[in-house]
Amino acid sequence: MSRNTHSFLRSVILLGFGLFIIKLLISGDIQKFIAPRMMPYMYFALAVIAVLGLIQFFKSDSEEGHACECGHNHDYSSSKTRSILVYSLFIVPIITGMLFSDHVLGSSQAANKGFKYELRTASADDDNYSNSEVSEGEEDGTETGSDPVHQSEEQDDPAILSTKDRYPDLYEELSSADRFTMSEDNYIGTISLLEEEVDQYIGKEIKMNGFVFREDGFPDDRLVVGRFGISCCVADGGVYGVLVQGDGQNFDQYKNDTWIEVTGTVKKVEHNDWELPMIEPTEIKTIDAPKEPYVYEEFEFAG
Amino acid sequence: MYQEKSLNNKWGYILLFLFFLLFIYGDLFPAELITEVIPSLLDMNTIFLSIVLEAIPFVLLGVFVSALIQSFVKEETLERFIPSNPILALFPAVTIGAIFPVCECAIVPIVRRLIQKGMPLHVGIVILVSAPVLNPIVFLSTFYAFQTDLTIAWARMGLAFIVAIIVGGIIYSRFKNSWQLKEPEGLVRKTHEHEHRNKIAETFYHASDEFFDMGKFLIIGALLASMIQTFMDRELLVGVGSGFFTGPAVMMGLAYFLSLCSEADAFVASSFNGLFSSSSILGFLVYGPMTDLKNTILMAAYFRKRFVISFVAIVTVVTYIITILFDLLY
Repeated sequence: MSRNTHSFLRSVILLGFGLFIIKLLISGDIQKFIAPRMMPYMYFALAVIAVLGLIQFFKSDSEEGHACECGHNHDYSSSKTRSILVYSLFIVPIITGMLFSDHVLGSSQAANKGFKYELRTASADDDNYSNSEVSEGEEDGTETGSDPVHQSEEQDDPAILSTKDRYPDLYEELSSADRFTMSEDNYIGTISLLEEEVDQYIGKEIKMNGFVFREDGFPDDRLVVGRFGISCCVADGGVYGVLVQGDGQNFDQYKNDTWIEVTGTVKKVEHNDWELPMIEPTEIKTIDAPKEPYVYEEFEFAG
Repeated sequence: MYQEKSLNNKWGYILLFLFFLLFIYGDLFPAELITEVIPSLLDMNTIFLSIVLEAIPFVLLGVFVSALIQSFVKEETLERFIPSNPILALFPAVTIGAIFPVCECAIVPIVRRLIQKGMPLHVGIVILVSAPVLNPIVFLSTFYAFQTDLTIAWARMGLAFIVAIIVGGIIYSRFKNSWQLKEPEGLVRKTHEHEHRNKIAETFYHASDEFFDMGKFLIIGALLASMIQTFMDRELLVGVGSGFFTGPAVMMGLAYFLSLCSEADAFVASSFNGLFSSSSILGFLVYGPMTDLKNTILMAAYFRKRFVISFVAIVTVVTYIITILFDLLY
């Protein structure tokens, strides 16, 4: 293949990437791959790809190829098969991306991606581990009195971030309200708070949504409702969810991956020796999957 | 020749047309056709694309910095800043790594360019392993992900520092300053003058070529990583991961194959907190940014195969020993 052909193909591929990103931006599907805080980088990438594409395009037009002897292998392979293979690598993600950009991870990945409760059941000695950690902490706290970690747990040292300190407003709201509706913005925070100290919130009425999934061996009246939480991209996502336990009701009608909205009372449940928050539902209704199915990890960087 | 060229350009135009077609009508394709055959295939596609999309800006950034170095930094400048004593030279390298918040995708082309410009191999490698983990952004995300146990964030930085220095030392004793890049040495070292071209245009040409050189490795790496993420059985891992010696090994293996961005891996690691010992978690956090599947393949784009294999082996053994020692001493 000639140098010009390479340049031309490369400009087409760069354009393809540009179109793919623009398509994601227009449809909003970009949020199904990347967390909102990474968006500035995507705009940067789009701009650079556009400039590079234009440069490649005009390079393919210019008469003499770009003869540079700077020693790096430009990989203008002259073998046709090899070139086709290499360029296919770039073309395939553009095509599958444009075709399937609205796919959302669901319950099958929830199991795979390490839902906390499931992981906890799988380990035999997690119990010992958590116990030893606690006793160690108490020792430190009483003997030296200087260990910042455990001071924070006992004295709320403001310099250290416990879940409460991380979400102060949310904590305030959640502990004072009798009824609380979870939204995209406070989803991760609320579940973290509930898990940290469920005793404090028992009896409150909570409304939340999410998709349904189950562990193996769940009885008919138990399911988990949760959403994927993303910090940078979907590859690092994990499931944030709450157990829903009815009193002998049959939840069979809510199949895995159905989106539901649950209203109910917060209770505490022992699940494989872990104290977990649980919702006893008063109302469950099926809803449409939201436009933005994921929730995003919020943390502020100083820079 | 002319005929062949026009033939190939024809395919370019067809591709262009296809892209526009998909741009407008891509959503109409019934995805159910795929999910019925292999249910997880679309999950894999989504994870794969998200890794690619997330990495592209940083690869571009790395490629640009590298192209700028190529066009503007002179070999002599570099030599002046690096101490001639090879052991002393390790420490400024770690500092450079700590100051620049460059993630692991961006650092590979930068380090390769620095080595081309005459930076000693082991100094380059120290920057390569330290920059993605020893940096303020990674520290903060670890800090947030492990609020209940601040030792993790500090220990991550401390251990990464120690591992980076030891890896640099071993690389020096094994490879001295030998040439481990793929391209022949002589060609590169000479500064060439492009009198007739301006340097900005030159930078863009370099960046564009390098994006394609490196992009294919990124895509292969992302593809492998997404396959493993989709089809791997996590429970199996947890089952073997509770032992004193197997714990760190399993977590390091996980870090290698998941190929997460170093900014985000702390959140994934925190989902394992309580299941694995602190030292296993640290193994994951220290090892992952230094080398992983995606990065190994990226490195293979520039470095000789034998060197890449030794590099991965050295980093693996050193991190493993250091995490075990940490567990014993702490």
